[in-house]
Amino acid sequence: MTQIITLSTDAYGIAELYWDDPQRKVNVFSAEAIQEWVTLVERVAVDDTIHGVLLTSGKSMFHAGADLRMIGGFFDMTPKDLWSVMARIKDSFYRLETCGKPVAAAINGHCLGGGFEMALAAHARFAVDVPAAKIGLPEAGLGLMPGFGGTQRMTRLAPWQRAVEDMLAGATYDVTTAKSLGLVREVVSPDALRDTAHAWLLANPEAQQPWMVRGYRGPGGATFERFFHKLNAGLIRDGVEGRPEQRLIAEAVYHGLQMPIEPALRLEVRRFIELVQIPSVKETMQRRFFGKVA
Amino acid sequence: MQHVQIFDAVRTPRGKGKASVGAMAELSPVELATVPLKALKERSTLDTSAVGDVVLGCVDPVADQGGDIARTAALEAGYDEAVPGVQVNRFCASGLEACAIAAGKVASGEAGLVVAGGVEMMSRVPILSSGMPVLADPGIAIPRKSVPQGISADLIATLRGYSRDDVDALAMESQKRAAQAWNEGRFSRSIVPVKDRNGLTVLDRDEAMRPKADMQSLGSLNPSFEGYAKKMGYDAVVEQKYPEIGSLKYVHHAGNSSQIVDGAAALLVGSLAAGKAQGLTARARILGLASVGSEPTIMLTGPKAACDRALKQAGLSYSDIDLWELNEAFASVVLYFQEETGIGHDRMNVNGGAIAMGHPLGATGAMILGTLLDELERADKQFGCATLCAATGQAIAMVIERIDGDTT
Repeated sequence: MTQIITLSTDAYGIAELYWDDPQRKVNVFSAEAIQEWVTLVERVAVDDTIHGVLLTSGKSMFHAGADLRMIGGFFDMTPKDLWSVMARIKDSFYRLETCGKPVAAAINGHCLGGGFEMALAAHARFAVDVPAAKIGLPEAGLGLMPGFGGTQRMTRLAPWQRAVEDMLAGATYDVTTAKSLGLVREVVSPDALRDTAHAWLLANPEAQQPWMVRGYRGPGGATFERFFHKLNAGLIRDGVEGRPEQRLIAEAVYHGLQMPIEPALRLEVRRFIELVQIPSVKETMQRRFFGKVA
Repeated sequence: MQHVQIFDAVRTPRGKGKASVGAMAELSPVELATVPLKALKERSTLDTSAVGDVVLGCVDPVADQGGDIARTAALEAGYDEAVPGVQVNRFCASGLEACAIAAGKVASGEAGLVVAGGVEMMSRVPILSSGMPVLADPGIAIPRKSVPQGISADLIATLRGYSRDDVDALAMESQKRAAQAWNEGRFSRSIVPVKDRNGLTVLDRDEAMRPKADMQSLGSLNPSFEGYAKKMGYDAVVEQKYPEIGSLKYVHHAGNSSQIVDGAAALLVGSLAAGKAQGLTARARILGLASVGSEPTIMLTGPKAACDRALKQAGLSYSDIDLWELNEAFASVVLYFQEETGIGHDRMNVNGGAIAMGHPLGATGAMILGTLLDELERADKQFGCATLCAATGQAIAMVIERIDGDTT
């Protein structure tokens, strides 16, 4: 079997999950890739000889996110079947970030959508110093929303107001901006990328997501509420009625930030499933990407 | 005064009230509150423009549970825009208080039909979120010698000499009864499974039940309020207020106190004429209701006084009541009431209570009223009484009579 993701563990006990899909020019979450990913995450989680996890890519682009053909299939799935697909990914990301081992992503190029959501499940992201490299969640620009935890993790890592505004716009970042927002830990030269991430893993065996640290508190109170008062009015003004993904992203963030990550991740999946059930969304997406008329 | 009829009663299952583990934690309080409201509408194909008001109990009406959740929930449940909503708070009595207010609106002629119930999403808005000056304000707490409820529950047990085995036995029985009631489908008429907006089931059964609890497992739990009382100084406060107890004994723990949960419930009440106009059939009528205050430090002994008054209003005595629902706030509350009234456990909380299934503060009163009605029907009994103790020494009671079809 040709593997999409290769697991290798070095003398330090650092396991590398190396994405290099032999059938494609870019790495994506296809059904086959998800199957491999879920299996490998569980393997690194339970293997006592593994002390850290490094996510790398063999392509010029780190990761392009979900396979569009797979997303096309989502529109024909029942909510129940789609839930099981989405929950598998959700659970694997949560498993990775809570398995007690540090996880780092070595972002060597574009890191978008579901690929960035995977990187957000790592405890640290290191990005290559390439001005053209884009990082972020462009889903809303395509009429979709993040569904692999992006609405919850990005708003917990970056300043949440900026994160929600950029997610609603589908805006992506260059690596310098991503670093300034706290989404990337360090920007380094291509030669130093792997070693820097590797060294960080060895130096941070106790790494935890900030939102899993005891005493973590999300935003709330009058500032939080007023932000959404204004956001809601602005979205209405700007025609959100034709952009259901924006309403559902905003809703997932508003409620999700008020609860721990586990229910927040379920909430995002529920809103994602809701989005792809909307006939107009299905029609737009199928026309845009698959040339089908629904 | 005309009798107020009860046409229907529904409730959600109760989900664990801790956000990291509760099955319903990703819902919003408004979404949860719409579940029973929609169910009432759909089950009776109700023309909601005939509903005069929606009255919902909620004890911590802040953040996403605030802003008059009753009106927001009515709108979100698809009720006619003309239907107003009001949120009420009498602490743990709120859900039944909502029903009492609804009954008053019907009896006065203000409204023909009223939806009454309650909601509490304790996973989202934790208990005490809306403030408690009776504990926090030195000008109130100090002269009153105020203590939190758990301390009051242990005070009752200490005064009456209830042993750890006494309270644990009651807790075990609650678990046993709740499990049996679920297994026999005794809640099926009222339970509305909670689904998400995709139609996926979020929760369809009370989540917090521990049917395997036995005296040994209950006996292994540490008292909840001992360390807390000593750390805070509440042991000294109750010993000053009730010097006759000597020192406070700690018998309550997580297994014999009501559980923290999320949940919502609602009933449809109204006048005979308004029900007829909607093609509704009455299932019960309200014969008496009363709210009282009592000594606030011991706090949880008010149900007897509330029941005395509600029964008097109904023209009935304790022995006339076939079935009782007394909220299992703490095991000692139930033992105390039974001792004061002589009511046996065989007639009380026969399908378990909040110790087994949980106590979503603002909703519980409406939940136990629905449970009472279902059981009167199932067991073919006539009279029932639902009662709850509430913070600061309050209590509420409502006496109902099951009826088959319409009656004045």
